[in-house]
Amino acid sequence: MAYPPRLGHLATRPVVVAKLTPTYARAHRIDEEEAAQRLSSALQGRLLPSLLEEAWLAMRGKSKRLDDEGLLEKVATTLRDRPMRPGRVAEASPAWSAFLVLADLEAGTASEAARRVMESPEGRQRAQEGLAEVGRFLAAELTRGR
Amino acid sequence: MESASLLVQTLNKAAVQPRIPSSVFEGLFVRGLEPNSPLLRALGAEGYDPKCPDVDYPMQVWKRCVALARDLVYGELSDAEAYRILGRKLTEGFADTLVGRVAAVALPMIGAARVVERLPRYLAMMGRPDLEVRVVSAGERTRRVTIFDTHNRPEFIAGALEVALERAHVQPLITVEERSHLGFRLLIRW
Repeated sequence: MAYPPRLGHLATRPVVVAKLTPTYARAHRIDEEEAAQRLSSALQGRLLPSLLEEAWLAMRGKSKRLDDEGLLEKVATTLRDRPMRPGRVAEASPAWSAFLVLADLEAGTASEAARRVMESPEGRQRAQEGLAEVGRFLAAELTRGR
Repeated sequence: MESASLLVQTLNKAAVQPRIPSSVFEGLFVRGLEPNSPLLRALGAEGYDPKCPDVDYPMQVWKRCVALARDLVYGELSDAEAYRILGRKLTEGFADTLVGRVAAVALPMIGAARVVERLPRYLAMMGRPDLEVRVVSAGERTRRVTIFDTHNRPEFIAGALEVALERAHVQPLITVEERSHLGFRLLIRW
């Protein structure tokens, strides 16, 4: 695991789901309740640690002033009052789309054709870009507090 | 014995009937066409509900839905014109879906020749890994493409390919050269 265990205790699956739900719901044109259910299912496996790893990388890259403890304290402060505060709606991009398709594959709601797309060399590259972009988004959401 | 063999062939054929992913339906009917109420009702009656889509659909549902769009949206046009426009709408809309965005991002960078070469891959993304495609070069900017597709009209595929090539920054001219019970051949120039 390439992120501190405390990050996983702070940014739990429900917290991450809350941050991603508005974007997922808009992309799929579904209501937020269903979006949250699907995301929760998608993040049950390997996708959540991968995402937290990217988020941690982004946090460390962005904040030169704070050490690891300081960063984690900032996350804790951000999440203290309203940990389930919904995230912003991100602009659609190929990288975000790739991440959302990955999430659908994990949740079992994507087609075989989507799996073929993501298993192609381009698909794998976009998936990595997607994880990085959503990691940056999550990092911003987890550190935007006081 | 002969009838048993025929039965096996028939069952195999039924087993490999392609299924069309909901992202392709979404591409054409939701993002490409922005359907009116009569079309939405008609699509619903055929089994496609854009608000509650399945993961994928049998080919027959796809064909019936495309035929409905042809009649209800472009009823005043000839078959050739209507299906070419529908093909264009398919690529325009599919490129705006989640799966389509992942695939379409490379189009402006790879050039027209590679777009044509990758046609089997694009068709597979759209639920047709079963299709045999033969590409023959007829010059630097000309290709003859034979597609063994008995489910879609040649003009529909031509229209879809036009938009993909336009995204590769060329002005394509695609004509249907030949059609048979096994498929069709397109002449693609740019």
